[in-house]
This record gives sequence, C-alpha cells and structure tokens, in this order.
Amino acid sequence: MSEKDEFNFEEIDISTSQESFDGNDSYFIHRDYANKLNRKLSFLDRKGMNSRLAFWSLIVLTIIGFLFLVILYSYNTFENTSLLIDEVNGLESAYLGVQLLSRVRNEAIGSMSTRSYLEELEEKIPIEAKPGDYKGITVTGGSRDILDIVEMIVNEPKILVRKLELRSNLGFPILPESNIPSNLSLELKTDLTVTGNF
Amino acid sequence: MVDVNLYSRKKRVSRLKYSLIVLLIIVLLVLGSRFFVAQAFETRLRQVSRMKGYLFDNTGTYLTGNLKADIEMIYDKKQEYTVMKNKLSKQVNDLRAHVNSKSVEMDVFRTIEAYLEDENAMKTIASRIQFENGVGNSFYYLIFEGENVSFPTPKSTPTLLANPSVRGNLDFAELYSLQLVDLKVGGHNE
Repeated sequence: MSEKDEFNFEEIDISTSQESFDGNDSYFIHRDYANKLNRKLSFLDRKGMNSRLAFWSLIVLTIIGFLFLVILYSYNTFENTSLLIDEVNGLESAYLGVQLLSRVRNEAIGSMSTRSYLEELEEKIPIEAKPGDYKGITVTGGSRDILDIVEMIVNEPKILVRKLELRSNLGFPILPESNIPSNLSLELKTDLTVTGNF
Repeated sequence: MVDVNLYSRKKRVSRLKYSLIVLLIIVLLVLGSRFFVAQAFETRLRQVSRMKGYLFDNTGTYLTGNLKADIEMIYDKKQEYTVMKNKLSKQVNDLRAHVNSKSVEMDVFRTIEAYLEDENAMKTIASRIQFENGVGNSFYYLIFEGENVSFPTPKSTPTLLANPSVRGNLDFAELYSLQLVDLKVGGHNE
C-alpha cells in the first residue's frame, strides 16, 4: 500500500478564501486516526481529568498511602516489637532471678533444716519451735548437761544467741588433786531468738 | 489557510481510565509494601518466639501475634515474677543475715572452745563464759604441771581473732601452776 492510499483526500471548497489560498486545497486524515475517531468510546475513555491535577493527585496519594500504610505502620510495629522484646528480656531476667534465688533459698533452708534438732532442744530449755524472742532463760545443772545444752544451742541453725552467760559455782583456787568436785554445777542464762526464716 | 495550533494552551487531559489504572498500580504497590513489612516483623516475632521458647514454656506464656496484647500479657507476667523475685530476695537476704550472725556466734564459741582445750595444760576449768552482740568472753583457769607455764594458745587455728589476757600465775604446792586467763573473742570488725 502506498503512502497515498493511507490518507483520505477530500475536496474542500474554499471559494471564499481566495485571498490566502490559490487553487484547490485539501485536508487529509490518517486512516488510523480515522479509525480511532470512529472507535466506540467507553465512559472511562470519554471522561478525563486535568493531567497536571491527575499527576499531582496520584503523587500525593502515593505519598499519603506510603506514609500511613507503610511508614507509620512500620514505625508503630517497630516500636511495639522493640517494647515487646524489652518486656520479654525483662521477664527472662526476672524469671532467671527467681530461679537462682529459689535455688539458693531452698539449698540453704534444706541444708539447715536437716541439721536442726530444735524439737530435742525444746525438751531441755523453755523455748518453742514458734519463731520469736525468748528472754531470760535460766537453766542450772551438772556441768556436762549444761555444756551439752550450750553446744546444742550454738549448733542449732534456727537459733540465734542474743546473750549468753555461763557461770560455775566453783571457788578459787581449785585443787587439782581433788579433780572436779561432784557437786560442780553450772548456771546458764540466755536470751535466744528462734528464726522464722525457714 | 487552516489555523492549526500545534502548541495549544489547551489544558492536557488525562483519561480517567489510565488514571484509574495508575491509581490501582499505586494501591497495589502500597499494599504490597505493607505486606512485606508485616511479613518482616512477623518473621522477627517468630525468631523471638523460638529463641525464648523455654521462657514461654516455663512461665506459661505465648506470643499471639497481637503486639499490644502480647506486651500487656508479658508485662503482667514480668510484674508477677518481679514481685516473686523481690520476695525471694528479701528471704535470701534475711537468711544471709541469719547465717552471718550464726557463723559469727559459732566462730566465737569454737574459738573459746579451742582455747579451753589448751594442749599444754593438764586441766582447764572455765569459770565464766559470756556472749553478747557477737563478742565472747571467757574467764578460765589453766592448770600446768610444775612451773612450766605457757601462754594460752588454741589447739586449732581459730577463725576469729582472740585476745587472751593472762591475769596471773600462781605456783601451787610446787607441783602445779595455776594460770588465770581472761579471753575476749570477736568484736574486731566493729
């Protein structure tokens, strides 16, 4: 097809415009453009909007969309995730602290409880297993018995000695030949605290 | 001549169809970006969940994916454990104080006992033993054979510093010597 065939030539009557034009004039329309003009246009093809307005509207829409739906969302989620991780780390720290302290406490209490013979001691001096201060305890007896009681008190892990005084009824000097007299007695005066820690 | 204005000042018009297509592309881009961002954070949460799995198992917590609810739940649990930790910490401190006092007390009595069991003396007779505020005091006699009197020394090394003070030595019938000792134990840290 020659180039000429692609155009529709039509005569134009321009008799009234002799001043500017001599001879016959013609206008031509490219066939593709003619087809385009003849094409059935939909509503969306017919309607349009200002290009500049459309361009800037889409730019603004893009910015706002990204700002709210991506950037703000990312910021909030990042903040919340960081806070969550901090809280999880805090929980882990507290949990490990509880585990460690529990172990320390249980081991200490277990170790001391197995060495305790407070019930036996209750029978020898006027104290109870109930936690509290026991003041003005006085016990008099044979030296061996009292020394045993002192040893029990000192070795009893649940008892703290606030004050203790142990006196013998011996005078001075003591004759070695006489050995220890059979009537030797000791007096124990003590203030004790039975702990409630375990 | 036909006046054809090739550089028209007429405003360019964009077809609504193309505008809507561009709009759709923009919306898809925005939503796609948001989806990827959400996926990234979700992956991070899954990592945290895996890393701290033992913690969640032992504390009975789990991450639901709802960040605000998870933060609140973890915070509550943390508070619970913090209260527990503080309570245990107080108990352990009380126990430590108790054990410290008890060990001072035991050290004082063991030191006194060590001095009373003087291996150089024939016999030891304690006349008075006192203990108060972590300080022990003992007044005792050491009986030596002949005139071989020695300064009081403990059989074993005491853990507390002791301060034995010999009040006097007395010969008795040229067979024995009697030594009076006033021993103070502890109280050096005050």
